Amino acid sequence: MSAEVIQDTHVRVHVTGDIDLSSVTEFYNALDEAAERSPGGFIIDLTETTYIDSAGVQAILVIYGKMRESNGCLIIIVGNVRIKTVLEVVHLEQLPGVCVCTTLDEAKQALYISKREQEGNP
Amino acid sequence: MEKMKRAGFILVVAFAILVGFLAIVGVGGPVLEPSYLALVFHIVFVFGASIAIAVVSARGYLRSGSLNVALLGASLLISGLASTISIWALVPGIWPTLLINEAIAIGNIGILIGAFVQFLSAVVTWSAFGTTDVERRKAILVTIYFISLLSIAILVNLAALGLTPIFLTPAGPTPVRMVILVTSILLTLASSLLFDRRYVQTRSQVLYWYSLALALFGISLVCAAFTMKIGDIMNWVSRLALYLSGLYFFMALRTSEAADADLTERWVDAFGTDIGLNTLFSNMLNGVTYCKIVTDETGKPIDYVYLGVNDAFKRTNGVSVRDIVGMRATEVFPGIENDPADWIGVYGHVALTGEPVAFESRSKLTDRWYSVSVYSPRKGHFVSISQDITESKRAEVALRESEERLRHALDGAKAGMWVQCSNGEWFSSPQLNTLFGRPVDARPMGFEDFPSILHPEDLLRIREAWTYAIATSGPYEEEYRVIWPDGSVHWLASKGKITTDESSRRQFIGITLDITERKRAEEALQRTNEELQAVMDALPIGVVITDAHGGIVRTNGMDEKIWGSRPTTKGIEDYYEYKAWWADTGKPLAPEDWASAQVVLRGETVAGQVLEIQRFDGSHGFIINSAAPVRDADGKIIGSAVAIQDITTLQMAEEALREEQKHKLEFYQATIMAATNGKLIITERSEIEQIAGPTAATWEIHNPEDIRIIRHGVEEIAAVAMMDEARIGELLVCVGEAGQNVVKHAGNGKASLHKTDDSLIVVVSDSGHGIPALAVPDVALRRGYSTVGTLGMGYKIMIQFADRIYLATGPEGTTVGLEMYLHLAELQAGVGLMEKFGL
Repeated sequence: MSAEVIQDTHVRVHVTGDIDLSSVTEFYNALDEAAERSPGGFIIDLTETTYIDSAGVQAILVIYGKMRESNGCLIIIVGNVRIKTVLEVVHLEQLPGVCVCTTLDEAKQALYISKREQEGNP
Repeated sequence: MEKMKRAGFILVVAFAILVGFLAIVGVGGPVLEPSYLALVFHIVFVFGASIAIAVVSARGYLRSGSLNVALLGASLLISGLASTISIWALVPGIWPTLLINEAIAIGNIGILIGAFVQFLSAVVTWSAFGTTDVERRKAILVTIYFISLLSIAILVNLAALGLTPIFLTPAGPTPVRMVILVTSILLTLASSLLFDRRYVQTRSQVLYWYSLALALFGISLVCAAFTMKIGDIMNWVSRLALYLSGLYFFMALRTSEAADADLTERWVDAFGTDIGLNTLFSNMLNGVTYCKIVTDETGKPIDYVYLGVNDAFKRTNGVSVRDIVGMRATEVFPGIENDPADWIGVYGHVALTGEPVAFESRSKLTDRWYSVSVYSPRKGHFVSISQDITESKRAEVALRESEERLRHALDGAKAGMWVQCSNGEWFSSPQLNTLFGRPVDARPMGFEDFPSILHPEDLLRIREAWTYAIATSGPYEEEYRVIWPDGSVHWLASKGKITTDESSRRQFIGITLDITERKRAEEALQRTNEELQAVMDALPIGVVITDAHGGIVRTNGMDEKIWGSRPTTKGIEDYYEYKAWWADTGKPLAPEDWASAQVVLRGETVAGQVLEIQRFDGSHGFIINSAAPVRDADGKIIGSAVAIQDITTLQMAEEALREEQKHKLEFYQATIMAATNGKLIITERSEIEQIAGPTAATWEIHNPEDIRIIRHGVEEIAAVAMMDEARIGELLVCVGEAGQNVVKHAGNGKASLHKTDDSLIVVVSDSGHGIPALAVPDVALRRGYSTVGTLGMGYKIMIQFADRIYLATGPEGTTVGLEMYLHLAELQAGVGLMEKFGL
């Protein structure tokens, strides 16, 4: 697995490979770094992720907790149905400030909307 | 002297040989019979000796009263006179009225009478006719000598009248003469031997020469028997032997005179017939001796001669010589002159001074004690009456030693003795004083002292016991307290019994001991016992102490509650009365299975026997039974200590709890199954293994990397099994979650893949602590619930994706079976491939 923090107009964590117990630390560190850079929200790009288990979900939830302290949001891009199902099992998409998208554009838009909502509702 | 004795003996033997030779050769030889020659010789050697001995014998008899001595004198008187008259008659012309035959008859018959009297004197003890009256002795002596002379006179007259048988014919001796001669020979030689025997016993010189003289006399008679003619060789040999015997008689007289004792006493000594001792003291138990003291030139006593002894003396002094009369003390008891008791000195003093003494003394020679009374009946003589008191002396010494030992024993044992006689007299040992706190040398304790000394609480009891013992002659054994003068209280124990002494008098004898220390030790032991019992009774567990045989010697209150009243239990053999079963197996307990039995039989400490028991009231309960050995100072097992914990309530509570949990689990299982739409099945590990079927692959789980490897392995096999790709992905998520649980909760585990007809089953198991039974619903159904505090969502995910989940969990670990059906359409097509993989 590799997790890369990309910053252009927004901050995005791009993950390739399997997120499991052996790689979850690296994954979490990338998420943490992104949260530091963009407390208002960032994108987790799982389009090239092949596997995620509950450990990865747990890492996302921990970062989610941090983000919520600053009212930030998490935008997750999922290309794999299986990963999406995993996230749905724990009803991640139903959490406030969490948006699960299928493309990067959708994600950028969702991030923009969320930030706007944050600004209007500080 | 010894040379002379030897020469005398050799001469006799030589004569005997000569006579034997002549008798065999039968030499008659020339006849030599000058007138008066034989007569002169006879008068000198035969008649003189006869008269001298007759005189000496007469004196001896008058002094001693020994009839033997008188007879001896008479015998020689008769023989000598008859022989001399016979020779006289043979002198031609002197006595023409007598023929040779008559002369020989007088000689032979006289000799026969003399030999007979001689024999009587030698063989018979005439003490029965003895008397102590000197006048009467004289009368008897005169009578004997008169009869002797009378018999000779009669004999001569009979011969003169021609009334005697024919003794000698021209052809030789007649049978009558031979009979008379042979009889005379036998009697004379027998007498000689008897005197010789007395000589061997007494070593008396007198007897030596006397017996030899008689032997020669006998030889002379033998020669006479072979004499064919008067004056032939054999006749002269006979005469020479006769004359020589006369010389020997003189020798005997001369020897007597040379001895320390005078002839008379030696004469009496030789016959041992002192009339006084033999008649009066022969049957006495005390030893009696009559002796004459022998002194040296200065008059100092140096020995004494036994003139008479009774049998008791010889017996008590261990004298083996049959007759010691005539012997010296130094001969009978060699070394007596050096005996510290100084017998010779003491006896000599009595004999010489006439002062009687009585004393007790120990003879070093015989190693015996004697009580001796000595007096002197006449100067130079003494009579000693002695009693062997060795046994009583030894008893006295033993008694003294015994008393000494007893005194030491009493001192050592702090004991005192007492005796109450039937007349009320009371004696006590000095040690008794110390038992009552009084100085040992104080006035001996009296019977009347006790009421004031005895403890008031014990007084009545002791008095009654004392009275009862006396009344019943039974044993007396009491323990009681006494109050010492300083006010301190001491414990004493008395034991006594009624005995009867030699005079049939009853006496109450007893011993008293100080048992204060023992009593205090007993009291301390009793206190310790009571404290121990109190501690045991306070314990919340049952405690039993057994002896080395397993017999129960002590229990506590809790034990009584656990078992009820125990029966008497003397040993392991009585354990069959205790009904018990092993709690885990329900098998009955044998007597030797009990913890206490194992302790005393094998020395093993046994802990934690969980047993179901049947109490003695019939009810049942549960106990934990443990036992450990009780050892003495040497480490030897002398019993066991058993601890019994009643776990009946606990056991019942656990049973109820288990039952409740079982019900709950069943409820949860049903609920979970319903809530998961039949997906999550709570079951047993064995059931999962049974459902899973043949194993296709196995993996070890030690770290997260292993989970990835498993995922890939499962993916490949699932793909080969033609599982739908989407379903493969879901199965892999489930495998990842199950593996993750292993790493998180147990650290290590294993996984295996199994193939059934229409599904793949991945079994993941670990040996962790498992999920608590009642937490299973939360773990499985509640989102975010985790037993280790992490967000618990693994099971939610697995339930979401797997077609069926089998879960077995408990303290021994957790096993999860993840079943995913193969796509039905491809399942059928993929059978061949599955077989190719050996699934």
